Amino acid sequence: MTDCLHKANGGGMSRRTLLAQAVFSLCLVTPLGRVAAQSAGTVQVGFLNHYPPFSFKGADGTLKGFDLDVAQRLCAIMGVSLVLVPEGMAALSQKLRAGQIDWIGNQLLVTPENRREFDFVRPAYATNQLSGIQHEDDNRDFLSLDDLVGKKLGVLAQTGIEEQARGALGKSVQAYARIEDALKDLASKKLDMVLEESLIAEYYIERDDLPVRVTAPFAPPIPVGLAVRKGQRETQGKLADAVKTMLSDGSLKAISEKWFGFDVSRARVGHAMSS
Amino acid sequence: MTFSLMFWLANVLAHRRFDRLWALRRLLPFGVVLLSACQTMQPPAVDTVRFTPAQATQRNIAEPKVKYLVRADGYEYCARITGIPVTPTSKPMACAFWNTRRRECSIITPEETGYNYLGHELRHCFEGAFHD
Repeated sequence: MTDCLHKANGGGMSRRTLLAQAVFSLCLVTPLGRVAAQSAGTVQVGFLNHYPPFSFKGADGTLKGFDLDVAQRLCAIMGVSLVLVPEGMAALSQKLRAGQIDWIGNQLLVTPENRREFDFVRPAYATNQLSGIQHEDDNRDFLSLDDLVGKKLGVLAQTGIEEQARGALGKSVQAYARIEDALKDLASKKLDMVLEESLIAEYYIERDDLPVRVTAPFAPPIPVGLAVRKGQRETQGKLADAVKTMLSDGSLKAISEKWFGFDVSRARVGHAMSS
Repeated sequence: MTFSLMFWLANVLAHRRFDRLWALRRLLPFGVVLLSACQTMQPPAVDTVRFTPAQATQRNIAEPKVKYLVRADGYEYCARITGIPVTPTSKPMACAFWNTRRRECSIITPEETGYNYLGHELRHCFEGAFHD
């Protein structure tokens, strides 16, 4: 069970993983002629068109999101102007390889495959973890899929999470095209639990004022980072310094609280080890 | 594993050519195994020193609502959510997760634990990630 969930989360199944895989696969395309993205004092940063709450178009058609606010803050720290480049995954990958954008503003999974294709900026600025979500009146403790036998579990459709959950629980798993619909059913007590990445769940809980809460993690924190083109040491270094500044000066905390209601840069699990 | 060791020990003691030197040679590996088992029960260094608790205003959650869950799969669960594997020489002995917004914290231990592990996790509930 543990291995299954590890694979579901870190091995190519979550939406973030799919993003990373798609970007990786497109990197196999022959590189285009590289064009310098950075003109004096300006950086071009790519964002996914529809990846709420990290980057998405609002009702007025403008791009917004947590990652966008973070990029704006990073640019302010670096003293450069931000030019937004909203695209799909394929175009983002091509533009990064071609040097038409300076970095991808959505954090990607740090996998061995992606590390071979991109350089990653560390540290990451948000902790995200596959977690259970339960109704706020529900005090039952579900820490594994085994605990959910005979219970109704909601998941996002066509993901590794759905596949693994169905393997363990069968027909009691209900798949949803939109995770916000699963959370609404949970709020109406039509489900016992929803499994989703904690930050995505926290965003909808905050936005829709849902009577549900993020409960037990089901997998380790997802390792992510901003991706820059391979070999762009200067950009990588400047971004890393800016991220550290943003973490230490309290500005990330303010952005976090705007989108999620709390500081997402801090871990939400701890442990004691034997040695 | 324990049964196999007892069976092996019984065989050693029942051996016809039992003598002290022979027994010493045979029992030496068993002693080493016991020693390593004790070693794994040593508390982590961070738990053997005194510390100054963070002031309430500096805590991750000033007054958390704490739940303590004792699980038969405690080692495995803690390994799963931290990404730290269970190995012959080390393993996560306890873990905690918290929901800062709701000021809730859950501590998980296996069915047998120690004061140091429980205390370590309780500190996490107040101060969040204070090590690593």
